[in-house]
Amino acid sequence: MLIEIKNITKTFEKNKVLNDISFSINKGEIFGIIGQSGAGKTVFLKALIGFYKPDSGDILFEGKSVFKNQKEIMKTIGFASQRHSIYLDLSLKENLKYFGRLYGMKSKDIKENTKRVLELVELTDYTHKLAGKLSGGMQRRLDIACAMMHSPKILILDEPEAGLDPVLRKHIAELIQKIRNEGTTIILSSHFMNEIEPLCDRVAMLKQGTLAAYGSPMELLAKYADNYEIVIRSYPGNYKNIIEWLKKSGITIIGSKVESNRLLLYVPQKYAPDAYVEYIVKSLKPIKETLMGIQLNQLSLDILFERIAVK
Amino acid sequence: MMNKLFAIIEKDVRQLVHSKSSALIILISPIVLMILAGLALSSSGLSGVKVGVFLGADPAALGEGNIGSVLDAKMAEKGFSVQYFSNLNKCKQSVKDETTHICVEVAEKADTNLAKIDPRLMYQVNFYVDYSKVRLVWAIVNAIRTIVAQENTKISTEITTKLSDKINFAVNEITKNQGKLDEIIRKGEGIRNTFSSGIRTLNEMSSYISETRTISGSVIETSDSISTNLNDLLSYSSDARRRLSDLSRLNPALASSISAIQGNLDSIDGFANNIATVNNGLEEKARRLDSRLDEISMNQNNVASSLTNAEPLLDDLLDSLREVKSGIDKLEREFAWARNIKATDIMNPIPVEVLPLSGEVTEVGSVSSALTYLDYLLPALVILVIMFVATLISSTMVIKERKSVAYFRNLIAPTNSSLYVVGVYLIGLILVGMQATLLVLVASFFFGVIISSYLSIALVLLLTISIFVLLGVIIGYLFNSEETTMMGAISLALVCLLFSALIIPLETMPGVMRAVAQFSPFVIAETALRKIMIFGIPIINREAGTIMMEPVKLAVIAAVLFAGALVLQNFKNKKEI
Repeated sequence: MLIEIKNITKTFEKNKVLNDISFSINKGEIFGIIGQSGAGKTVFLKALIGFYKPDSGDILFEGKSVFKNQKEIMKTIGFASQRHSIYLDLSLKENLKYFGRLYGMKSKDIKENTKRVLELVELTDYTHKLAGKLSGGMQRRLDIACAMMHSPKILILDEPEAGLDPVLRKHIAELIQKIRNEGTTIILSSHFMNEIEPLCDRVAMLKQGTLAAYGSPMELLAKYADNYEIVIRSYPGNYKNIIEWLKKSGITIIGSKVESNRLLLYVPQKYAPDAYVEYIVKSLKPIKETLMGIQLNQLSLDILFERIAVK
Repeated sequence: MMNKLFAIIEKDVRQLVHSKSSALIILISPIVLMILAGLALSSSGLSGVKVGVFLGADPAALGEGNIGSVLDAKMAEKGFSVQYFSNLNKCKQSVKDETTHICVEVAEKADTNLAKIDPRLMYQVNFYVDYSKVRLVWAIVNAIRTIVAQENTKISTEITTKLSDKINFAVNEITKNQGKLDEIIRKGEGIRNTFSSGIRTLNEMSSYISETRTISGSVIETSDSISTNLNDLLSYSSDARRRLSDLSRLNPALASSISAIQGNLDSIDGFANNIATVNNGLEEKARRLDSRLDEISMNQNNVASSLTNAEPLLDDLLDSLREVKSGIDKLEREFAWARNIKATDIMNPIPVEVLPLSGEVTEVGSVSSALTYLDYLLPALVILVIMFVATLISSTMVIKERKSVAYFRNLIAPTNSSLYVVGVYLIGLILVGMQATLLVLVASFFFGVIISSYLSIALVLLLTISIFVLLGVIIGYLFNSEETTMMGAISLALVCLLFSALIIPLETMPGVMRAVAQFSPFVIAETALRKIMIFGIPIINREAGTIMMEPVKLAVIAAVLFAGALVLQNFKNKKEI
């Protein structure tokens, strides 16, 4: 266990932003913090590096309190925030050199690490270019490079894929994997479960400052994902009637919602998936609904997150 | 620690270097400012001013050397653009239309007698101005009034010189003729004496005349007696002759004797007749003498009477002459002081000369030549530039850093946060120091401003820059946006400017404001720099055992501000995290 979070609670002006949160992060893993905007992810990450002292509880880094050993521990942590913490008027090399010096690195180490991190984030060709002239994705990679410059044991990435297009997100995901492969423990936050699910070894779901769920994706799915999701599209699309009719027909409906002119039904994994589909196709005829499309999904972590953290 | 500090400084410098426009502004702005200030302050400042002139209906009547032509020439010298109008209303209208800045009328005076003294005295100058442009108006009015005053002085000096010459001439003439008057009086007195002796002589002549008259009377009497005796003699002779004739007849013998006697008698008769003739002549002359004496006596009486009458007149004349003499003597004494007086002494009886104090001090500074207006203004100008540039640069650097996306990474780095304040302070010090150096060098080399005591100046500038950089740092941490920070920095600089002697003399400010202004770093720094640059006063005077207090005050303020900046930065960082 690298980090142990012990019952931390943080309040800002009577608003409890973190409420009795406890979990641990292992060395070398990619740990995801997931939660909606305002769930307390960033506050938690900042508490992790000792910036926000909790009202109660503690965070232990290799058994030492972060808040009592902040300066020492900060040397071992790299942090890339939602906004790129880089100087746009400095070149990539100058940015890296500056932050390296702030971390007390020697010239030789700065030189070596500059080369290393630029190779890692694949920006070697842009060494002397001004950061402000890079694309958004490149800036994000430079930001991560800056966070990696002093070879931290832990890299904290606050929503690393926010604002990036799918291709860039893929690049960042690959980069995160590469960094982990170098032995760095990575803690990242996001409000898109589908983005961090393939990356993370374990995740902690935050809901209004409380820990809603915690574990590996498989563990979470096993624990919470005991339903199917059936997506129906029909004409004229009187989905309320459909739900009523299916309930009268004896189908257990755990949950439902209409989204993008589609009906999403959550049903227990009591029957085989094709049995559900067949029954629903048949049931629509009496109520004069013409089926335009039907899809049955095994419940993903994303949906699980939605169910756990959103509702 | 030092490595981190240098990293912060190097980062800021590199950011500046990469942003060429910022670098250019920082390096060029003081030179541009100094050149602009130098050019603005080294010119008379009114070239290009448009002056409307109305010389009356008939400008030719003014004659040569009139105030109109003098104005024309002098205004052209000053670079004024002069436009003549044939009508006063048009001239006034041109000011309203802003085609001219002032209308100057050369008007004729009503008193024509003045023309006898000097034809130039016949004119007066009227200004028609738009008081809404009060500063420009006063500048132009002062410039033209100076021209008119110069001409007034010239005319006045000429007339006074003429008057003085006349007085000198009169006094000289009086002095010269004083001797003649003395001589006249002297001669008059001689005449008076002669008169007196003449009267006395005339009086004496009366007795002579009367004596002569007595003598002539006795001559006449004697003559009458001689005449009587001669008649008697002739009668006796005739009687004797008869008797002889008788005798001769009686005694013819005696005829020859008788004839001889008769002959003798003839001779006696002849003598008697001759004597009678002479006697008659004598008597006549005696009578004529008598008659003449009468005339003389009459004339003598007349002359004596005239002289007697003339005597008091002569006395009066002499008295008058003496009075005139006394008056002239008095006049001479009264005008004696005016004899060698100069016209300029009358024109400017109490000469006022404004002497530069700085010229007296040479032992410490190397002030040797006359200081220019720019020399006197330079301390305030340097502090002004430092104040604006330092507060703006440091506050902008702080707020830019705070608002920078990279700021967060600085906060999480294991670096003492006070290093960032020190970094901004040092970079501000370097940049503004460079600017101040450039400013002083440009002033020294291009505008010939005399700079002395470089070390003392450097120390004061260092403290001043520190204060304003730290004020800028505080403002940068106090406000939360670039706009409000900029406003804050400019407002602070303006307040400092308002509470300085640059706009309103401190001495004329209300008591409270004056007291507050004494603590203004602008005032303290400007005072220190003025003492060093203009008066050459050293910061530490070992001989006198004194120390200039202003740099000490500046150092204290800088230290307080530094501590304040650290406290504020710490507080803000905690809040922002």
